[in-house]
Amino acid sequence: MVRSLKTYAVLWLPAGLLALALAPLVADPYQLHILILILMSATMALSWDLLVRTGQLSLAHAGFFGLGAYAAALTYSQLGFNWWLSFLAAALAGGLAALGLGMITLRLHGMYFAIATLAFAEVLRTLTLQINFTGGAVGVTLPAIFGGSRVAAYFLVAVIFLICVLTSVLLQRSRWGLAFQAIRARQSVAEVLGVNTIKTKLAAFVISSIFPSLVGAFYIHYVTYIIPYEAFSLNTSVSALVMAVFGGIYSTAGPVIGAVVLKVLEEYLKSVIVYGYTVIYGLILALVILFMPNGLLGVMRRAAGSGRAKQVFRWAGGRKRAETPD
Amino acid sequence: MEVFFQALVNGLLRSGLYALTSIGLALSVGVLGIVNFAHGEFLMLGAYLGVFLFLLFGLDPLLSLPLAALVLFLLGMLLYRCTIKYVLDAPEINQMLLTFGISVFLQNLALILWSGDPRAINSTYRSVTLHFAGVNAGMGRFLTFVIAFSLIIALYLVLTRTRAGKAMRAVSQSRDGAGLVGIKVQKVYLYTFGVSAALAGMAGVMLSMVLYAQPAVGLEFTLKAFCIVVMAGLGNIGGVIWASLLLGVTESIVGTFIPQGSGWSDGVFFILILAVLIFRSRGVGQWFAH
Amino acid sequence: MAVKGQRLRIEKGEIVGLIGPNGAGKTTTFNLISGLIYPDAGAIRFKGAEITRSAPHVRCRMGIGRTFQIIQPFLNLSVLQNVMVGAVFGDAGRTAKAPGDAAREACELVGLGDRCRCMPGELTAAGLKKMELARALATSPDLLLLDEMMEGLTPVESAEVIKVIKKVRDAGTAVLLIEHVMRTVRDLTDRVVVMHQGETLAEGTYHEVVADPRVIIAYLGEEGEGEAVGHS
Repeated sequence: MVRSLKTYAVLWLPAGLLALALAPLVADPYQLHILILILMSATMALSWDLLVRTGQLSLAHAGFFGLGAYAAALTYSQLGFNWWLSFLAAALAGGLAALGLGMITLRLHGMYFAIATLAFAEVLRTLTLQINFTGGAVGVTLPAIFGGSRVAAYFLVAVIFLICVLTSVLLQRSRWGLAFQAIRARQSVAEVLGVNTIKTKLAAFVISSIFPSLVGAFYIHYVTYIIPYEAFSLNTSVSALVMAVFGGIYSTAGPVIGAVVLKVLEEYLKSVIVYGYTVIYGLILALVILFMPNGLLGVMRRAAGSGRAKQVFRWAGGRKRAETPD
Repeated sequence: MEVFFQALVNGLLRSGLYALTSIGLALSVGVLGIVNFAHGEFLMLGAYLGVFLFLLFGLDPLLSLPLAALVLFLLGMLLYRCTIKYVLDAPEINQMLLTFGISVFLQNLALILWSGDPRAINSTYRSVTLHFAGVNAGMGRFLTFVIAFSLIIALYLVLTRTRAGKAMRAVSQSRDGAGLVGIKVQKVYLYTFGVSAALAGMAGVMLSMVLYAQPAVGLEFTLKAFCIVVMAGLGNIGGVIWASLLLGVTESIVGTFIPQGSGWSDGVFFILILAVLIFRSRGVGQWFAH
Repeated sequence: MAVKGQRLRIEKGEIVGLIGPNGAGKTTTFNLISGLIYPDAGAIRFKGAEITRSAPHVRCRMGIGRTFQIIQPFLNLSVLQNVMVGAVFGDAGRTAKAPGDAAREACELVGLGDRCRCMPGELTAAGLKKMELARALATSPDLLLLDEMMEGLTPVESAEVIKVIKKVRDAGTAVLLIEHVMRTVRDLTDRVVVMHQGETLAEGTYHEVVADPRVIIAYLGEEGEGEAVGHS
C-alpha cells in the first residue's frame, strides 16, 4: 500500500539524518570519501530530476557542474573571494546561464531543448580549452578547503545535499509540483488552464541548475584541481540522469536511491575497466527505459502492492491531504 | 583572396559528410518522429568498419562503402526491432533517454574494445592532392564530397520517384493516414531506420578515409547533424543541404581566419544552433512554436 | 489562412453556437480566442481589454476557459487533481474559494463527485468529457469555449451535460460552443454563427440560420456531412 511505503518514509527521514550526522564517527577516511562522492552524485541526480519533472530532458548538467567549478575557482584564486563567496559565485553563474539558455529554448519543442543543452556543455568545454584565462588544457587548481579536513568537507556537501532534498520535497508538495506534473503531461492543456508554463519551466531549469553548480564548486575545493575534459565531461551528465532514471524518475527518493546504488557500482567498475566504465550506464539506461521505466522505486511500489501500477506521485499526498490543499 | 577561396573549398568539401549524416538523421526524425541521439554512433561504427576492412583485407575504402551500408542497414534494423520499436508510442522523453543510453553504450563499448586512439585508413586518397583554379583539394575529401552528394541525389530520387519513397513521405506526414491507405507503417519504420543508419555508416567510412575513426567521433557528428536538421527545419530535406553547406563553410572560414581557429571552429555549430533557436522563438505566430 | 475576416461578438449570459462544415475554421477560431495561435492581423478584445498578444494562461486567468475536442487528460494525475489544476492556476484567486473546494464542486456539478479519486484512464468516454468540462469550469470562466462536447454521448449523457451548461449560463457565464449535433444547437443556443471556409457565413437564431439558403448550400455542398442542416 502506498500508505505503508509512506510510513516507512517517515521513519527513514530521522534515521537518515541521524546516519548522515554520525557517519564521520564510524567511517574511515576512505569510506568518508566514498560517502562524499555519493552525496555529490545524489545531489546531481536529484537536481536533474527537478527539471525532468516538467518534461524537459537536460543534458547540460555537466555544463553547470563545470561552470560552477570554474566560477568558484576563478573567483577564489583571481578575485580573492573566500570560499563561501566563491560558492555563491558558482550558483549565480549557473543560475544566470540557465536563465539565458532557458529563455532561448523553452518556448520550443523539447527536442530543441535537449540538443541545445547537450551542445551547451560541449561548447563550454571548447571554450575553457581555448581561453588562457581559464588555464587552457591544464585546468585550475585550488588549495584544499577547510585546510584539508575531510570531515568538514563532508558536512558541507551533506548540507548541500539536504538543501537539495528539501527543495525537491517542497516543490513536489506545493502547487509547483502540480504544475510540473501538468506541464509534463500536456503542456498546451496546462497553459490553457492557467498555468504559466514557460515561467514554470524556466524556474525549474534555473533551480535545477544551481545545484550542479554548487556541487562543481565543492568539487574543485575538495579535489583541488580540475581540467576541462573532466569538468564538462558527458559522463557527469550521464551518471546523474541514469541514477535518477534507474532509481525512479519524478520523485525525491528515486534519484537518491539510484545514486547510492550506482555510485558504489561505479567505484567498483572503475577499478576494473579504467576507460569506458560508463558503458554500464548506457546499458542500464536503455534497459530501464525498456523494462522498468519507473525505476527501482516503481518496482518497489508495485511489490508493496500499490494499486497504481502506473507511476503516480500524488500531489497533496493521499486521502488526508486532499482535504486541505495548499 | 586565394586563402579565402581555399577556405571556401575546404568548407564545401567538409559539408559533404555533414550533409550525408544529417540526411540520415532527418529521415529518422521525419519519418519515425524519433530523436535519435545514437545516430552518430552509426557513423562511428562505419568508420571503424572501414578501418578494419582496410587493415585486415586491404580493402579500398570506396569498395567498403556498399559493405558498410549493408552492415549498418542490418544493424539499424536490428536496433529498431529490439528497442526503438517499443518506445514509439511512449512519451518523447523515454525515446530520448533510450537513444541516449544506446549512444553512451556504443560509444564506451568502442572505447573499451578499440581504445581511444584514432585509427585511420592510410590509403592513397589521403596523399594525393588535386589542384585546380588555384585551390587545393585533397583527393579523399573531393571524392567524399562527390559521393556524398551523389547519394543525396539518389535518395531524393528514391523519395520522390519510387513507391517506397512515397510510402516514407506518407508516413512522415501522417502515420494513421498512411496506415489507412494500406501502407505497412511498421515496415516503413524498420526500413527507414535501416536506411538512416546505412547513410551514416557510409559517411563513417569516408570519415576514416579522410580523417580518422575514434569513439568520440559519433557524438560530435550527432550534435552537428542535429544542428543542421534544426537549421533546416524538421522534414525539410532540401534545407539540410543548405544548412550543411553553411556549417561546413563557416567552420572552415572560422578555422582559417580566426587566430587559434581550429579550436573555435568546433564551437561554430553551437552559435548557429543558438542563432536559429533565438530566431525561431521570436514568435512565429504561435504561442508555442513547434 | 485558416480563418479570415472573423467578426465575432458574444455577450455575457449568452449561449452562442458555432457551426459549419468540417474545415470551416471553427477550432481555429477557438485556438485564436484561447491564445494557442496568434492572428496575423486584427484584434481580440475581452471584457474591454486587448488580448491579441496575450499568452493562453493570461487569457485563462482573465476568464476564458476552453475544452478540447480530443480530450487530453493529465494521465499522471487523478480526476480531482486534473480539475485542481484549473482551480489553482486558472482561477488564481479570482473567486474567494479554496482551490480544493472549487475543484470538488466542479466535479460534483458535472456528476463526477464519486469518481474524483479515479485516474482518467479508468473513466468512460462520457466521464472524460465531464472531467474536461469540470477542468474548464474550475477556472471560473466568464467565457466558456466548448469544443464538440456532445460528440459520442448518448442522449441521456447529453441531457446531463446540457443541464450543466444551462446552470453555468444562468450563473452568468457566456458560452460559445462548437457542435455538430443539431438538436443541441437548437435547444441550447440563443444565437448561431455559421462559418464556412474561414469566414462567417450567416448569423441569427437557429431557425433563421437553418432556413438560410447559403447555409444549406454550404452544408450540402460538402461531401459526407453527416448532420445536414434541418435534420434534428
